[in-house]
Amino acid sequence: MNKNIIIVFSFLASGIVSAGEEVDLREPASPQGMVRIINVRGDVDIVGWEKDEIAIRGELDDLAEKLVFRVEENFIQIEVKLPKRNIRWGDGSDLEINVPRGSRVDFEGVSTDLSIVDIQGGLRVKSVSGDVIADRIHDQIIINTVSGELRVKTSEGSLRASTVSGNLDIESHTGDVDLESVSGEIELSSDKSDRLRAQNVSGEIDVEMNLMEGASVELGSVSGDVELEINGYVDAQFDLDAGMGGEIYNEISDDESSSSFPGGEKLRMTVGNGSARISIRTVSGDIRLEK
Amino acid sequence: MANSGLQGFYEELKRRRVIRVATLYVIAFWPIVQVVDILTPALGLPDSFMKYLVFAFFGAMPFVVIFSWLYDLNREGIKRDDGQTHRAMFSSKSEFTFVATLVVLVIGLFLVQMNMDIVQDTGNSAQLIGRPDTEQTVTYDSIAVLPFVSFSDESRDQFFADGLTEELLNVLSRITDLRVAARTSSFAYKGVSKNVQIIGQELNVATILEGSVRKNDIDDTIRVTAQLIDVKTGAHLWSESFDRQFTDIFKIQDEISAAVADHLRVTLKGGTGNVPRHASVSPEVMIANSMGQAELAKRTEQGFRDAARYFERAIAGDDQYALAYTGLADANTLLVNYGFEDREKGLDVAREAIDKALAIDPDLGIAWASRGLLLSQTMDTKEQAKQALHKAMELNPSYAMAFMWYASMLSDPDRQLEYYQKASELDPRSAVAGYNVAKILVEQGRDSEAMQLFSQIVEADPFYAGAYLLVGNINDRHGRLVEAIRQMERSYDLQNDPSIAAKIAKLYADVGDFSNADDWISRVEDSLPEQYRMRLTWLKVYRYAAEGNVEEVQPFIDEILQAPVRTASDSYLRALAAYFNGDYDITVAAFEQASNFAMDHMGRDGWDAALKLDAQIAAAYAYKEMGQQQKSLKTTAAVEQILDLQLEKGGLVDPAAWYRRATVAAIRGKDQAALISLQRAIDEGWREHWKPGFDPAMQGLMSKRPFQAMLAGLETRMDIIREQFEMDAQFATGWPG
Repeated sequence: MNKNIIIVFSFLASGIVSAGEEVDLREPASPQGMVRIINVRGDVDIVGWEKDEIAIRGELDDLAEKLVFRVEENFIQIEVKLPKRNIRWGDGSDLEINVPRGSRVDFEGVSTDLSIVDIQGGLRVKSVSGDVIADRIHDQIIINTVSGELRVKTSEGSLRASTVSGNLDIESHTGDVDLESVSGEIELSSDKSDRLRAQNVSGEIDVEMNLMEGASVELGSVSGDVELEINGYVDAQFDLDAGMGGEIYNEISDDESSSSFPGGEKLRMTVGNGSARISIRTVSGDIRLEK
Repeated sequence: MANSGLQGFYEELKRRRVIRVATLYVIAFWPIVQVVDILTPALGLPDSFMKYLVFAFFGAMPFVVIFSWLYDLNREGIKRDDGQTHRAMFSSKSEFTFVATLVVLVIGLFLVQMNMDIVQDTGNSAQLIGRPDTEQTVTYDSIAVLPFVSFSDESRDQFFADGLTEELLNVLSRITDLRVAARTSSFAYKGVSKNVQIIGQELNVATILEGSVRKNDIDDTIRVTAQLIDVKTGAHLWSESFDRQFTDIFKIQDEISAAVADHLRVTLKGGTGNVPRHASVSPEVMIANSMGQAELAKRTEQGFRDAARYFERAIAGDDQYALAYTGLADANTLLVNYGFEDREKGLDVAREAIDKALAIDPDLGIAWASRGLLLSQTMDTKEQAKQALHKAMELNPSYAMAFMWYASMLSDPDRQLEYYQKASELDPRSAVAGYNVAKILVEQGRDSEAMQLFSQIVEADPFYAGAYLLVGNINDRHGRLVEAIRQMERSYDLQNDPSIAAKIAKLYADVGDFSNADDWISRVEDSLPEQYRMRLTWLKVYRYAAEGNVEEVQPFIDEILQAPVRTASDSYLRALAAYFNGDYDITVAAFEQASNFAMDHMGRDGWDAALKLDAQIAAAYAYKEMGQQQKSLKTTAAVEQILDLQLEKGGLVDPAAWYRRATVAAIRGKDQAALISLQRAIDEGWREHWKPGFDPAMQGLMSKRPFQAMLAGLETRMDIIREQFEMDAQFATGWPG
């Protein structure tokens, strides 16, 4: 098929829609294409499927000015356009979107609650106060929220997630991890990870992981406590520093912490051959190592 | 016998085709009702039109019946039916009785209708619906006026309805002891089909006033309906319809506000007769004012300028309309406050407008608030500004902006929070009111409360720029630069504020992305008012210093040193430029001269306070270098006192405060203390990794190993941030714009 023919679909479904309008659209899509979805508020469920097509069903935002459904050869854009002013009433969109499983998905919202399942080509989410649930996502995963809750399950690839006050709950991730929060709680269970980094300010960090050979683990919080539980054999060098007022609880070995200037505790130790490197730093929070 | 009489009468009705005519009359009327029902709103006809049509139908029916009894309509035309053939069955006496009965019936119906009209006309067709028996003892202390609905698609008519709502808000808010939900919050429900009781609960008011406006362009009349609802019970406390000439709208407003006050049983000084009255102005003026208010609420440069034009139009229509002058003043003051207008020019226009407003109505609280806002723009009139705002709050305790502007002038965060919360209570749907509360909560370390409020703000208004600036600042202060930049860019996209562009430029410079830094500097250059040019030059110093490019920094340092000094900020910048240049006598001279100037300010970002503190530290170092130890000690002590306050208050601390404490310790020769503070700065998220290399006060520490290790650790963190940017860029590769 001539590639240009597919581009004919550009703006096919673009046009004025009425408030709260029901939509049911379907178009052929590249099996590994890029899909950008923008929806300011409401609920959006994105599900990857086997078909080489994209489908949107549900109800648009009460204030929707138009729905952009732009389909090009390797790129699809779905955008529920709202006016830039006086978005103070009405209900948000309620949409279910199916995309080819191999798609790379880029989602942007403000207070949209997003659920996204079974995507193989990677995911980026920029949200503000909406909650995000991502399940079975592969490749690059970048998720930023401000106050929304984030839950990622059985994902694989490099994961970076950040929030200010929302909680980050990462369950059974395989691959590199970089997590940041300010006051939210960070909870992570990692199956396999060469590189793991989690930083918080006042929230706690709770990590359970299988330690890979040569892995790098860096955890830090200013006033929150940090807890690391390692499953299986421990083979690592540890550099722990509980700054000015924190305490260190070590249940992995018999090594004991010593006082550090100006008032906290520190512990440097090697367990096994010291293949992996683990650094944990707090200013006033406690550090707890468990096995 | 009786049966045969009735049977005979029925037969006679049939023979004279009375039943057929009556049936046809009813059938013909039905489509007429349908057509009129459709055309009534389209033609702008009052609702009563249908009522009168129905009465006319029933009123005419007896005449139709009589006519069909007396006359026969056939091919030969209309012919008197003499009933000769059936005289035996129906006498002329009976015929007379039948006609007389019908006539009496018609007159009776007419009198009943007349009586109903008289009852309705009393008190302007007032209807007390569901007025509770206990009402005499109930007092309602708060109200929200929902935007009146216009039964017209014309935007002009909509603005007229908005204007009516605003006028009612203004009048009711002048009633002592009555809390009136602010305009922003009321107008948030424009076009919303939501249960009135729920709205009342959301706005935290006891009553809701809502209504509609129907204008008839043919005869220039207007029908306004209004109803007052008890939020707790949902009962209608009062309902009324007003049919008047379009130009008499102010009489209707006065009657509505008086009726509302009466039914709320609020305490009025001098009784309910003392409800403030409107000046009589034309609807055109009211529409222009309403359009101005709508533009002003947008809080954008274009919005301010358009608002000013509408208020000028209102004033051109009526030069005695005080509210339009206050609107014009606010538009110009805010243009200056946001940095969009030449200071002198904008404030002059505002001053003249406020003087005029207060000359027209000296008790107009809104005008006193506008005066407070104006006076707050200059350092030497801050106290007068507070007094004016105090007066505004006394005269109009429901005007949220007066509380908000007053709070912004207070230095005690607890009192600030108290006034901001009061403003937010009056205006619960206002994003800016919520933002101010959230900002103080963050600074007090009450992050979870602040973020809860943040979520409410963005859910109520996803495009409110201040919310993203708040989160951008939180991320910035914790060294989360990727997110800080993203949120600030979002804020800038919504508001185009040059001070935000400057922050973004600095963040990109810190990360080492100088291409983006230059791009943002050019945006600042495009929109920064002339009086802030020295700040732009300082921004360029920052950018090239972050790059470590000493040669490029020097011309900008020289530019600042040679520029004329007009304000305290200019003087502090000069002191800093001289400090980095090693010209310590100039540093001291410029610092000491600063007190001779008034502080100008960009108001909302604490720029001046930070600048003054940095200049103080520079002066302390300069005194030391010039051998003036006592002055140096005294200056560092003053700085430490301020830093202690900042660092001990808890909450969100700018990590730069820890860096400043490190420099002060270094100036005093307390190296260990300096290192501890520097490490704390890094732990807290301080990111200006390039700065110690340029900072004369830190040169003594540069050779120390722990200092180098700390900077190396900071560099590693910056590498991680760069990686985060790269991951984003990698993901974005190949996407169309």
